[in-house]
Amino acid sequence: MKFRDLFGISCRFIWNSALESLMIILGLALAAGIMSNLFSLISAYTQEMKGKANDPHQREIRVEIKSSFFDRRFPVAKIGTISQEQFNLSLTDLNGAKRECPDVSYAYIESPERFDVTDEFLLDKAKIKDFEGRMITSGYFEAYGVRAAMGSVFTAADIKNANPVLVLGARLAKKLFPGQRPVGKKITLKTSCDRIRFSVIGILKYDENYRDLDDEPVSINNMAFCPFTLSSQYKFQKTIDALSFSVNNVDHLRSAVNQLILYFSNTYKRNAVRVHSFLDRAEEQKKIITPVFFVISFFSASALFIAAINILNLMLARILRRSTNIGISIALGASRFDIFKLFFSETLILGCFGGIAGCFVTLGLSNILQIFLSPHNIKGGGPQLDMIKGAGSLIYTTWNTLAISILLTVITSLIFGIYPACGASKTEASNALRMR
Amino acid sequence: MIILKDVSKVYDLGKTEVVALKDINLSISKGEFITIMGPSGCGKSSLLHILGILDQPQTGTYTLEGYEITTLSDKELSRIRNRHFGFVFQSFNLFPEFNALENVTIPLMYAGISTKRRKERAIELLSSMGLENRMYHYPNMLSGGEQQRVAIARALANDPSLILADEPTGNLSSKMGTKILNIFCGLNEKNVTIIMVTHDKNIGRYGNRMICLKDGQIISDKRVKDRIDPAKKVTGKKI
Repeated sequence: MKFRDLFGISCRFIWNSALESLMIILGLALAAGIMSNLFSLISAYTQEMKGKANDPHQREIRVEIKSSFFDRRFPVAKIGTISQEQFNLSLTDLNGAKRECPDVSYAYIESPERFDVTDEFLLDKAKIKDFEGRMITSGYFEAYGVRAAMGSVFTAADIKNANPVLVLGARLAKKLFPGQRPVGKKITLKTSCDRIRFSVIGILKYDENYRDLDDEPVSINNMAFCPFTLSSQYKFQKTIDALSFSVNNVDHLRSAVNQLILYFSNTYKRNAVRVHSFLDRAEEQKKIITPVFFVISFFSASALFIAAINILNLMLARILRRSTNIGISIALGASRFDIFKLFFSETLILGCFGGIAGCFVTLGLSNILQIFLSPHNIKGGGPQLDMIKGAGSLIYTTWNTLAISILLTVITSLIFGIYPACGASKTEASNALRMR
Repeated sequence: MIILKDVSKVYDLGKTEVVALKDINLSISKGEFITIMGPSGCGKSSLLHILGILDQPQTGTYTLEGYEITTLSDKELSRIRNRHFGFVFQSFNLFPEFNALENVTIPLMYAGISTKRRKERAIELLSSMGLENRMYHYPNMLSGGEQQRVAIARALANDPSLILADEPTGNLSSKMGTKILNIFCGLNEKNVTIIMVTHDKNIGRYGNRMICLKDGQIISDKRVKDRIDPAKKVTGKKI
């Protein structure tokens, strides 16, 4: 029996039981749609996590005093000291931790700073009153892989000697010094420490992927950087809120965190210092998203199972109804394998149609979920709701997820189509012919 | 052509067993027109199904053209059914999903004939049955006689050497029945072996050999002396 004939006859039988076939197709389409959205969600989540792992910010480990922001101004007690003697985190801790923790690649301080423009001509020309920036120590640029496009970034001597030098983001440099070469220019800026006259020593390479620790898109291109040690030269010194560490390879993140926890628990009293990284946030996210995945997986598996049972039932009913036809076919020269092929190809065609219809269901469902899970439609707050708010944006259908779900639907329909097809092929022709 | 030796068939109905055929010994030569007669439940259809390799005997041997059929694979058996046998049933057994032309092409499709050749052959056969204007009609749009003629055309699709007919006139008027029987007689004249099951003695006279069954056993196997010759229209009795 030729493939074309088999296809033609199968299509004819499918068409003759249109309503029944439609039910099978709809069941499969729904299952494919739900499966596809589940795969999309898992794939998007995995991609997101993978992307985060490759982001320099996500390889960062923050060490800070374990207290509220208000209490952070109060020092913590050090082990081996009398209780009244208290300390803040310091550069000594930074260097000590870097020295003692072998998996830590970089150690630095990164303190947010706001720079107010005081030069009259800049205020007139550039029309910028202030801009964001960071007071940093060496290691920061290396950790983030940021390089100077013009001039240079800070040298160890700049940090050590607390030189009043400034490195500008590419866009900020363009705004402050339009049409000029910024390197070597002098600029007076008011900082939280004092009014300081800076020398611009470098312009950073344009980087559009820079994001800060809270995942908010902040462009490094609009920021300025100066040595953290500079604050020690002035009356209003900056306290160190947090120490930052980074690893070159994300696989070393866990061991680096453990080494830092050990180091700081040996230095400070237990639970005085908090060491946190992307792993903690990933863990929190996982805790929230895992039950969601389980629920969706359960519904997806149920939908697929129901669709599969639907195929099984309807195909068995179809075989029973067509048993005389099977008998006639055998009498006319069909082999048992021909009968098997006939029913199996019907299931295959239904599975394929179900998969194709599933594409449309997938797209429709993902659109509905995106609308329902968009931040505008979810009122209220809290970490779990925030997570759900973000979930909508994760659901986007890719060709891969679509292909996997269609394949899964077709395979399921085939598996559940084997039994009825085998049953049909075993029909006794003489009994079947007596049935009419 | 066909030799049945000590063939028996018993249907197992759970608690009871029904003996359909018991020690059947039969030899059929090419070109014979055999009518199998007997009352309901005597095993006529069971014998026909065994002869048509739609069923296998439980005991005994069935030899077809020197081949013992129990030694043949399903593929070989289906090939024999397709190429050498033609089946005609009482209730026509046409596929309601297909029109007359498509019904006739089905055995040709199993034989692997090309679509074009299939259509040509089906048109030729249906035309020979006087159904030129009914080719694209579905079975439910055809009369009983027309349906049976389509069924005969389908049975003849692959030029079989043996036609197995299970009460082919059972659902037809006497006039239409005669027409169908005449077709069989015409085929038999062309050296096609015909085995026809019937319970009507008069119809049995169309054949040249009559086998009577009772309780699954052959009680008589004799030549028909007063055979009805359709060419001479010796149809004195009502069929």
